[in-house]
Amino acid sequence: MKHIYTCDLVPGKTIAEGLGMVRGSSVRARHMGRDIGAFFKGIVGGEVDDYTKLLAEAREQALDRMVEEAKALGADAIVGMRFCGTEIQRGAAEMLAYGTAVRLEKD
Amino acid sequence: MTPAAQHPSRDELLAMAYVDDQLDPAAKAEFEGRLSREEALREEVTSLRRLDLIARTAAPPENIDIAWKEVDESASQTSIIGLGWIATILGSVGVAAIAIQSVAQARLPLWERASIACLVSGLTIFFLAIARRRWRTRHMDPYTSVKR
Repeated sequence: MKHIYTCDLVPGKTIAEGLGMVRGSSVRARHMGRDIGAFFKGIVGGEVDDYTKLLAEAREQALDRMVEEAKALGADAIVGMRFCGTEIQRGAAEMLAYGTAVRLEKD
Repeated sequence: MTPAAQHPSRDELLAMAYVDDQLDPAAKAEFEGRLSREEALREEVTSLRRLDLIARTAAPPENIDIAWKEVDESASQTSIIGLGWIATILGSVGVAAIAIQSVAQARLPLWERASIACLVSGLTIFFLAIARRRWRTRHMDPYTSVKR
């Protein structure tokens, strides 16, 4: 699905039908070796790239799950897409991606 | 894609169409049925999704990425990290041995020793089962290739 927008409309297109909310979530952790590395990086400062990667993995998986749900509904696009995150456990990242699946008017 | 023939096979074409959501509902359902049975097909789909993810998340390297790579791949850094890991693993084994020895030497009733042995064995078995699950499915996880 190419049309994922954070705004509430699809530029240049007309929304024909709203199909409801779609969402995808993911909780991911890295292995203990990476956590040890991240702990020491936290002491010396700078970007903790192990956790940057962890967050990116969770974000992309949540996004894909949301898109799969929209595809199953026969949607053409998702509007009003948002990400949110929370902490389930230390060293793990939870990302939730949600938005509204819509069907577009044919050109 | 099969290296011998530079043309994709029918299954590879089907997998590409599936990942691109180009199959009609009947073909999609049939393909998903095959996915649940054929590991080679699942691996093909995972590989295509990994490519899709790399294309989606690819970004030009930042200067700090290049600097990190240089440091991480330098002989001195790999030696230091390797040494750290060896010392940590040896230390962990040593501490575990001390703990086992302490329990063995303690004048504990048999049932207390048996309880400790059961707990340690149970946790080890749980850990091994979860590690096995991860080990066997890691290659099916396309998200491990996401950088940032």
